[in-house]
Amino acid sequence: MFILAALVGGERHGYGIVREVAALSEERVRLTAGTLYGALTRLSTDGLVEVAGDQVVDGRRRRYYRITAMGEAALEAELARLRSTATAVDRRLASRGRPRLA
Amino acid sequence: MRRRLLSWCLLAYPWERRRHDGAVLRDLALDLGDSHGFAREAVSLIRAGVADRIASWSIRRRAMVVALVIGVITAAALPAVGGAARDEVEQLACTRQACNDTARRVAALRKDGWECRSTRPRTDEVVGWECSLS
Repeated sequence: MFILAALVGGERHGYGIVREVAALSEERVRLTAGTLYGALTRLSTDGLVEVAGDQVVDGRRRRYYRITAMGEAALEAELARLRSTATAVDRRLASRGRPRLA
Repeated sequence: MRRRLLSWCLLAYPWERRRHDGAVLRDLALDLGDSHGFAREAVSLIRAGVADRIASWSIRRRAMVVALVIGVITAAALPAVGGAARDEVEQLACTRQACNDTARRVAALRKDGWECRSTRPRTDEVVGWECSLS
């Protein structure tokens, strides 16, 4: 989900995605090359992201990715699911006399 | 040096993947290694490469590899298990005048599958058995 969210702002290369995911997760999620590549491969197979091209920067090859319309829809669906889950849990906690979440 | 080492780590990936994405993957690992640690990236490539390779296998091939691994582990464990079983030995002795309880014990062990043999008595008065479970 973080990877898709990182691409909402526009095309990014792998290193940029890792940095954006770290920022979005408040440094809780630190992706490695192998993990990111595997995730991007699966997302690409599922049609949620696509390759936007390769560039050579400082002698290093960088591949850019962008989110597809299907990827944005999947991200919104996942966000709705998480909101629904949070609401249900919040309601349950409130019924036990605990303060509701903000 | 690091570039070469990461290229070695990429060998974990299937050939098709290396041909298509190897350079990008290696350079990404180099970029991340500069900030996150090189060893971590190298291990990540090997682990992900092996997972990618296994994922590309057919179900039949995966089942064969799992069966082979289980077979190797079982074969390696058998001597240890057998050795432990052979280590189960009980030695009994009694004086000739009071061997009823010991004789009953030997009979019970034999009934449970133990092998009991008479041992050479130390004296004419002492009778001995060595019972083992194999």
